[in-house]
Amino acid sequence: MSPVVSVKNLTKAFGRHTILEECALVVEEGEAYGLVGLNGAGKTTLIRLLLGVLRADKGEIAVLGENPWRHDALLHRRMGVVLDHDGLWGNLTFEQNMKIFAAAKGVSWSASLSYMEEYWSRTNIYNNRKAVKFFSRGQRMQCALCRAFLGWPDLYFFDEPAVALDVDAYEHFKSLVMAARKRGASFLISSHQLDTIDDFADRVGMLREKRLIELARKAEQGNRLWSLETDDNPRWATIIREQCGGAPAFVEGEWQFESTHADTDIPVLIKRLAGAGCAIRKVAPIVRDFSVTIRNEYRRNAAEELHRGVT
Amino acid sequence: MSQCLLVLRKEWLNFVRSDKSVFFIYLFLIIGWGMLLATMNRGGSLGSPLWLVFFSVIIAANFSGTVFVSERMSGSLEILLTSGLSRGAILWGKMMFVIIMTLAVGVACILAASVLQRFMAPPEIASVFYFQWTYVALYAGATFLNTTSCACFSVWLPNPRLLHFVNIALVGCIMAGYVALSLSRPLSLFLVAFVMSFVGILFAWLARRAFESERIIKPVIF
Repeated sequence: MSPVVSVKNLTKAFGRHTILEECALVVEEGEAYGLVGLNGAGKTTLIRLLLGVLRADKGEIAVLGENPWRHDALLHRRMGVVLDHDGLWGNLTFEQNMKIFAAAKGVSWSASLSYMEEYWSRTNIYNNRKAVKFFSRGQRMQCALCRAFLGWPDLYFFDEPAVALDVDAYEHFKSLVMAARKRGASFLISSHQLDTIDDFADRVGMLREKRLIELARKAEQGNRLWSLETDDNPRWATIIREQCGGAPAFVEGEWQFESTHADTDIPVLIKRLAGAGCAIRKVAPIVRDFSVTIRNEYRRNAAEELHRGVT
Repeated sequence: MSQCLLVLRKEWLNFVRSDKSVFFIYLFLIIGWGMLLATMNRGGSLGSPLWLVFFSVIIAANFSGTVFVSERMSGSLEILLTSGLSRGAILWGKMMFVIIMTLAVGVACILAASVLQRFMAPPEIASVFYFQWTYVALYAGATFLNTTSCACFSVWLPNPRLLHFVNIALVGCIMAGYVALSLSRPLSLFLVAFVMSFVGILFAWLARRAFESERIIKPVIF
């Protein structure tokens, strides 16, 4: 597999404020990369750099083998983009919007119609003759998603794609992503909604202190993340920390923690907890939750910053 | 060219599906300004060309506000930039729309002035036609200049409310220069139209550079 996105030593500053410094990122063909970070961490800036809307101060960016800052229209035709705003023309209908975007992408209207017929005919935006400005926020986001998948591009950049989607629309979005992935498409998804990252990403990176840190791969998650159902006594956190390291967190009635040596650590941990009087209801690996890793990372960051502030 | 026409079509659709009140405002503006031109034109003074040029400032800046600024504010420009259209096509498509619409409104205004003039005080026919052709050339030059400067300053200025003022300043300087020079020897108004078109070409080049820069997505401040 070859990388569809390759970033080396990327630095970007606005005036005196450096947003990204010496960032590196590789997204392989067919891969879905989840991008997380606190507000203002630089996620949108990174996406704009990858789209060629912003220019890097330093470093190299290659998207589908080309420098996006060259503003090659043909490169953009191979991309599907959803940004934090829908980018639709409010006075136009859904169909008029799609006609213009299809023509801009070089997709024939007959091909676009068959795509919309197949994937969007059961949604309430299809055949809706009202101007888009009268649509709800969720409907507008669906229009934006419909636009992104027009012509089945090779690479998708999504910035908060699931905002305002209801349950049905979200499931529909998932089915579209799966269909695109079957065609070999790659994704870069930035979201604060950790469920979205869980559902789509194969790999997760966090922007923190101007750099991109790789947090986890989906394949590793099963071995690393565990949940322990018991009460919220802080003593249990101390025992878990002593045995497995990391920063256990009590979330929704269970302790969530990481264990890199689960085969040896977990049996010993259970014995120690039982010996200390802990009423264990259930111990189980968390198979696919990036969200726990991300939350733990956020907590660790906050603790570090607090510690730095004190010292 | 086909990409330019696509952008032009998009802008046209977006305009014709605007609120109906917009069209009434333009209609009132055409009649009102036409009356102004008709009454000013009687003596063949410089009053009419000046009013016509400033009419172009208002109309071009107004259309530019929708086409260049609103789209930046709503975020749809950023999507358009990544939609597979070249930046040049986006810029020229939008400018073509502003120019065509401003010209259409201006020609309607001149026609309205000509009709109203006949009712108010019929002048000599030859004089009317001479002035009308000069007016058309002057209005076209001013429209081109105002459109290209709006395209350029909509990116450069953090507050696009200033578009009208920038255009008034630009056009005002050119017209003042013309008046100053014509004090010593009589000059044709076609010369003003030519100068405006030349400065317009300069701004078109600057607008192209502005569209290629990353300032194009800078937040708009109101």
